[in-house]
Amino acid sequence: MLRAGPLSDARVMRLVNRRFVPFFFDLSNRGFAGDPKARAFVVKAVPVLGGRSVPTPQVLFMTPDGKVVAEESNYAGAEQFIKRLKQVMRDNADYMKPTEAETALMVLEDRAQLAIDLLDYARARKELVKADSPRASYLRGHLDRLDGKFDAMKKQFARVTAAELRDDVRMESAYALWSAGNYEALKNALAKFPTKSNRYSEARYYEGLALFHLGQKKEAQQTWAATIKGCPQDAWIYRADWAYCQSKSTGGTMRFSSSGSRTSLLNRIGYMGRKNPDLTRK
Amino acid sequence: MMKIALSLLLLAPLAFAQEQASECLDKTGVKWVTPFEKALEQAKQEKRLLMIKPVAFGTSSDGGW
Repeated sequence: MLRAGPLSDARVMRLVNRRFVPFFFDLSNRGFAGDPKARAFVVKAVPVLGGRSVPTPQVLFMTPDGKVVAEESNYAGAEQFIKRLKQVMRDNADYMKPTEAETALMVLEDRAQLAIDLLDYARARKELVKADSPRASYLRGHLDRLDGKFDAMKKQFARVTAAELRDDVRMESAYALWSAGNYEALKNALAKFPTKSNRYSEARYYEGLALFHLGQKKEAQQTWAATIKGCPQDAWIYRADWAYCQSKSTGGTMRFSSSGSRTSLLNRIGYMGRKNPDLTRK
Repeated sequence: MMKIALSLLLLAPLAFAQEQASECLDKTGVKWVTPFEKALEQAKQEKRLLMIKPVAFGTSSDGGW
């Protein structure tokens, strides 16, 4: 659930990569992700996880000396997860200091990107006040998009002519159509997105959503399936897999196994507890 | 002594292969640090908190969950 939900949200990924050391392991000690040293470390702090039958483990925020400073639910959505991350950052300032490389950043656009990664949008805008470049206009438009100010976003993007930002502008602009529920326009805006673009699988995910909401369920599933197979290394495929599985589900709890007829395209073992909000939006 | 050294030599490529494969299998964009020893060391060095997700319902043979 986490990987398809908050851990595939760009805001969460950027913040976690900037300020935390993320780690996962198989609590059973078996399989590829089994790690007895990790298990011993975690069970010492949370003894209930050492039993034979354990509750679904929370995400644990721990100091290197083994103290749990916060926990978050396995079923948290992105907004709840971000709220927790912010709280953990506030309460543990000693572990959140900027790196030397971050402190040495001189380019205003780089400093603005860092602030965006840290979800400090006010600071990002401040950094960009004196910046005058296509990238600065793009970042301002991106901030407008994150704030839901789509008219302001369009004005900023009109100034971005740099070829290397073309796909970013195209994808960011599509969010205005998604937000308005204009699925026909969204489908057209994202059609034939360049396969080598860094935004390709994101575009395909939303193209699939447009098809799904237009009632073209089979085409949506084909879009997601093709994206997952074609993009083995990408943040968006877990979400595409989640959408694919839910759209295949005939109701009740979604339970998929790693083998047999109920296999998720990514061999996900379960999408329990929450439905993909992108499919259930009104 | 020789036996220990030989064992370490044999285990080293295995650990390396697992670490590399683990990075390749990450599809979320989160830069997972594995194995745990490396994550713990990095957290100590950089004075960061660990964000740990214990997976209770099993991981697939290729590390998916």
